[in-house]
Amino acid sequence: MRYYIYIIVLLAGIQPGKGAAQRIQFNLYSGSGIDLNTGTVDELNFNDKQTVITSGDMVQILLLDPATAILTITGRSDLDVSVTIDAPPTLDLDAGNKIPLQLRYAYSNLGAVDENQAKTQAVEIPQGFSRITFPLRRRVAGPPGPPPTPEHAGYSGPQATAYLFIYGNLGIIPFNAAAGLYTGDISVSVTYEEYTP
Amino acid sequence: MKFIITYRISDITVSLRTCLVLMFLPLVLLTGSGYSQDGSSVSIKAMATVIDHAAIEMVTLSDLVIDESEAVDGVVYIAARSNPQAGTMLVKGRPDAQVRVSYMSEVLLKNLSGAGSLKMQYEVFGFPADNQQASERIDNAERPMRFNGQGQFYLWLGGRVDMNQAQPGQYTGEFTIEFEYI
Repeated sequence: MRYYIYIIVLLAGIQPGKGAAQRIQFNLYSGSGIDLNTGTVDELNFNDKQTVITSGDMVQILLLDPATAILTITGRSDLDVSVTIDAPPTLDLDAGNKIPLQLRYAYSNLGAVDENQAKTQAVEIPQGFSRITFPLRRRVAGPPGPPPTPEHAGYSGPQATAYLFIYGNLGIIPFNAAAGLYTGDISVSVTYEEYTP
Repeated sequence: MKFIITYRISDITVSLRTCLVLMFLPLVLLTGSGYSQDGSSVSIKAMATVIDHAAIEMVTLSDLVIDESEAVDGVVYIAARSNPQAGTMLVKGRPDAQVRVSYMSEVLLKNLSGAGSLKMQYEVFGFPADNQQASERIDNAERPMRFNGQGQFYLWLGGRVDMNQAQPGQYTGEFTIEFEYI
C-alpha cells in the first residue's frame, strides 16, 4: 500500500509546469533579388478593346486580347513567389461617377520565350482571388529535385521570368454616368513565398 | 442638335522627293501610362473614356496618306471608296438614329514655311458597317444617314490635291464635318 502512494506522488511531481522551448524558423529564401516590371502593355485601357464606350455598355477584355495588361516577374527559378494585387472595385471619374470593375488574373510560368507565347500557356485564376502563389518556373514532371543551393559569393542561382496578365470586365456603364476619363490604380507586389506557419 | 468636328491637318512637307502624309489627330486623347516601381511592386493604371450617349464621337482608325510620287500630271487623287490609303473614321452616336452630314469639301492648306497654298478637294463616303467597297458618297446634299444598331457609322475620306503650283514647305489645314440629329 505504501508503494502505491509513493508512485502517485511521483507522477504528480513530474507534471510539467511552465515549459520552455526554442524554435528556429528557416526561411526558404531571405534575399530580395526579384524584379517586377511592366510588359509591352503597361496599362489596362478599355478603349483599346472598344474605342467608343457609352452608357449601357459592358466592356470585356479577355486574356488573349491585345489590351490585356502584362507584367513580368524575374527571379530565382527554383523558388515560389506570392503576388498580391490590390485593385479598386470601380473606375472613378469623381465621387459621384463610378463604373464597376471586375478584374481577372492569369500567370504563365512555363519559360515562354515571349509575351504572346506566355499568354497562350497562361493559367487563369478563379475570380475573387487577389493573392496568388506559384513557382517562378513550373517544375517538370517527377519528384522534386534537391534543395536549392543558397546564393553565395560567386554563385547566383538560375533565373526565370514568369508573366502576369491582368484583364477583366468594365460595366455595365450606368445610364447616368457622366462623360469623361474614368481611372483607377492597380497595385501589384511580389515576394518570394516563405511558407511561414 | 448639331455637332461639328474639326480635324487639323498639319506637318505636311512638300519637296521634290518627299511623300506627303496627312495626319489626322485622333479625337480620343489617352493619357500616358504612369507607373512606378521599386523592383518588387508596380502600379498600373486602368482607364476608360466614356462619352455621352447623346453625343457624337469620331475616332480616326487610319490616316489619309497622300504620296506625292503617285501624282499624275501633278495631281494626286485618293479614291475614298476604293483606295486603302483613304482615311477611315468611326463615328459613334445614338443607335439607329438618323443624322444629316455635311462637310467642307474644299480646303486651302497653307504653307507654314513660306508663300503659297495647296487646294485640297475632299470626297467622303460612308456606310453603317466597316465595308469600304459598299460605302456611299456623302455628297453634301444633306441626305440623311443612319447609325447602325450599335450606334456606329464609318466614314472614308479621300480627295484630290493639285501640286503643280506647290512650293516646297510645310502645309497645314483643317477638315470639318458636321452631324445633326434629325
